Amino acid sequence: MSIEVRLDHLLLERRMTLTELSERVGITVANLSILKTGKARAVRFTTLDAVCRELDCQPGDLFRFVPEG
Amino acid sequence: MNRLSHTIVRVLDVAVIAIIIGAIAVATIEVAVLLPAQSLGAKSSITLPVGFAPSTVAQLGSRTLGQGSIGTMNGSLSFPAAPATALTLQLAFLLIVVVPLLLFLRLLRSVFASVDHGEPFADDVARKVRWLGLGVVALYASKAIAGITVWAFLSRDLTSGPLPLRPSGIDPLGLFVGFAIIALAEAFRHGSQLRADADLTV
Repeated sequence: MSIEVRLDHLLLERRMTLTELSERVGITVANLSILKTGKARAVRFTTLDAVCRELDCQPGDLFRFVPEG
Repeated sequence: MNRLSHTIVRVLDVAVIAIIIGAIAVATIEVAVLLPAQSLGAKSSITLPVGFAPSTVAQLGSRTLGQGSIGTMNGSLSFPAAPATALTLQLAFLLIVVVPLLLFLRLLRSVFASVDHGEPFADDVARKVRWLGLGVVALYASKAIAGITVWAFLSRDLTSGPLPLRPSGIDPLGLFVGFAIIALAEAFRHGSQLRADADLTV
């Protein structure tokens, strides 16, 4: 997929672990891991809202389009 | 747990056991009857599972097919054979019928078990439903081919032309049901994809 998820970069910048983020947003570590590793096929707006609120970022900070090839 | 699916799973379990016991019983009886018959020099016959409807047979009258004959009660074709040959063919036919039937029931049970466990759109369910549909189509197609073959074989000797009778064994409804099941399998496949998407939706 051409959409790169930069959740790990944001967690590093915010000095936050995936487990901490999971507890703050109310989403399981397993699901956040699916998002972090780029395996997710879709993201709910509620999830995006919660993550951006806790990481104090914009949705555009979380995703990047990388053309294939 | 889905009550209906759970019940159907249990019914299919009982059906499989009943079919296995029934097949063993039939085979035992055939061996018990035909083997002693051979030693006594008795004659036996092989009855083919294809033929014509009794009303059709009445129109045909007393017709013979070489050494064979058409039964007036059920329209089936019978040929004389040695008891050992008859026994071998009967047992082979029993296997040909029972084994696919058991495989079919096993597939059907697996599908209902998946529904019972709350996983109707598991990855393998679509494949199993497709095989069920193909099995139904194969069954009715083979019955139709057998019926047409028998009709053509019986018609060839007539100097007045082919029998003006529609051969038995052709069941368009059965073929339609088979294709409908295959179409249902496509719906299950689509459901499986939607489920995968839902599982990977964060």
